Amino acid sequence: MIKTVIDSESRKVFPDFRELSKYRDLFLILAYRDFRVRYAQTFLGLVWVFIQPLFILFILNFVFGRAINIDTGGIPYPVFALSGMMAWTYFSFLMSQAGQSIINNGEMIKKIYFPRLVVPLSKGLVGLIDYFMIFIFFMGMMLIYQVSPSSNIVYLPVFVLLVIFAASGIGIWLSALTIRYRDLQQVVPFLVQIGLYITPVAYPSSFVINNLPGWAQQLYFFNPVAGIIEGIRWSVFGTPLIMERLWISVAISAVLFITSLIYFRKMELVMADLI
Amino acid sequence: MEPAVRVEELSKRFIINQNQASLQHTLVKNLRSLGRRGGTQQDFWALDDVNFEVAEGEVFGIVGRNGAGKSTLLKILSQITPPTRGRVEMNGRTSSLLEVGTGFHPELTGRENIYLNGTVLGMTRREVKEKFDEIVDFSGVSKFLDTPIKRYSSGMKVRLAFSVAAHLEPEILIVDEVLAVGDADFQKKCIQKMSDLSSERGRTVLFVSHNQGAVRRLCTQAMVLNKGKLTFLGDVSEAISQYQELALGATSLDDLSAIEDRNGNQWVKVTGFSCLDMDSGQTTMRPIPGHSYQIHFQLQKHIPDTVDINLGVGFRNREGSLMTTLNSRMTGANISMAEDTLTVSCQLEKFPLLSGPYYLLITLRANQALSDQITLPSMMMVEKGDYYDSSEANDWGQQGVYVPHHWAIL
Repeated sequence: MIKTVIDSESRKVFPDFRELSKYRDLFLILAYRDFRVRYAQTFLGLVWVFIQPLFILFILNFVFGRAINIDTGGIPYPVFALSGMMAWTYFSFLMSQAGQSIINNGEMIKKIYFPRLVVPLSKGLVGLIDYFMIFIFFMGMMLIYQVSPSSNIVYLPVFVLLVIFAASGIGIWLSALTIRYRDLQQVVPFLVQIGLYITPVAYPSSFVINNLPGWAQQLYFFNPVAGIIEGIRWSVFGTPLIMERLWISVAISAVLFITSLIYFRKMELVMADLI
Repeated sequence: MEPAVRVEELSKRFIINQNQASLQHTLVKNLRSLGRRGGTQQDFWALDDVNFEVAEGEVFGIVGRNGAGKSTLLKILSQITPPTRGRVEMNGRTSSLLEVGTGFHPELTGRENIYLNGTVLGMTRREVKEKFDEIVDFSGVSKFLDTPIKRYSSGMKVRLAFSVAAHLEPEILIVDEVLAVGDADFQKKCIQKMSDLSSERGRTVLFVSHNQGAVRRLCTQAMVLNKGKLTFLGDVSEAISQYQELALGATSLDDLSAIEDRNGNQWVKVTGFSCLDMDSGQTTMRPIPGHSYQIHFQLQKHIPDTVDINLGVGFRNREGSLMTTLNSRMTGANISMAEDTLTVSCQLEKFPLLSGPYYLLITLRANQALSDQITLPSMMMVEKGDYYDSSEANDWGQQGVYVPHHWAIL
């Protein structure tokens, strides 16, 4: 027989992962709901997954590829930019969607118990659908431009996992923080906009950091996506990678992810009272 | 045997204004506390040291006025909000239904919402699938399964939602005021389903409702909460009558001026009422038959003229039938009102009513025209007493009027 004990004295630091796994069906169905609802009654449906990145790609290609004629080390610009946009799209999706997720599901959280972590995590799954679509699009572009992958490509899954962890960490942090500080609802869209500029999506990181003093060069990689995108390019195109910089981004991602779970756990208890 | 639910010293504190945290708020607060320690923070105890146990298979009712702490208690038991102090133990798979249709999404079809709602409530997809036909049967919306539920009527949504919840098969089911919605037929079906859960399958049900009929029919035990404290635990009828007293004895009668539900031309208004116990000098709404009381009425006049006042109080029983009436004109009293305010008293040598709750209807006529008429917001709860000073049982358990009389052998 299942025994539940609710004790005002109990203090758990980490979420209960065993319980979380019991709610995996909820996790899947919430993701399905978001996916369905997002494209329900839209005329173009799934095509929307491609339209946005396609337009951004078009603009980037026009500004950075043609007008500025940025040095990508011989990689066709659309392919180069797409390799950064894959990770960035996922990251920005989680920042905005997971960040809002607890508030948007407030009615449910006030009335039913379930591990709240399911909510931001399910956003991570929804985002993966877009991520995957753009990845296919990216591979198509590689074929069109006849870019053959480097031998480092075997490491690509590692970087995909890194993106997921780093983005989830940020998403979970924001979802818990937004309940206490509603101001973040205003700040996050702004952060996402800035993020596109301070992350090497449209340009190689060397384009920015070669003009920076040494300490600021390291600081640039405190943005976890920066190192991860460099890593993705290293694995796909074989562009040079400074390991030290990658490690900064990896360490930041790990810290973000672990602390997000701790903070979320702390907030989880009082979420219903704060919403 | 272990009880299904054991609650020990459970308390929940809310800090008022806690919700308004924002960056600005936090910054300002932290800056202020740099200069000066401490601040004004108001506590509110929604639950205060509550202890009880519910045995397996019991249908346990929780009654109390709004704000008594019922919902907070259910939220703690459902693990939605943590207790500030105390401990709860629940033996068995627990499921709670604090609101019907939580997690329903209007864009999704009935079928999809059954899965969504079922998994939110803690079922796995397989469990929902196994119960699917039963759920659809019970809800009676099978024709519209593939229609988005935004096209459903509210009644259909409620039926579908309750059906999902009713098929959860938890060992302990926690239900808040969900029967308030839906049509009468379906409510009956729901109550039947809940009573089946406990009687046929030995499930434990914790049940909050304002519907006293439902509590009486369903529950085997009940508790009364008042202002966060447990004031009664045990027999259902006793709990309901305690709750009725609480619900009715709540408002002060000293100032009736805020009451808006009045008849008459309002030339003169009744602004206060009190019933004074002549032995103790205290005001009371729990008179004892045979004791003597003085009833005071405060009146306020809104026209300049001097008027003739006729005051009456009708005592109506639980069903609303008039039991007796006190009337100034009938007794030949002349009350003339020249000043703007006036207090009128009515002396009762032996309080004449049998025990039970009475509604009081005050009627005021000024110059024979109906000027004011109100029903007091509190009932008068007459106690049992020895009206005839006979030390025999004077109260036969029904509401009515004592008539002074004497017997003799001729």
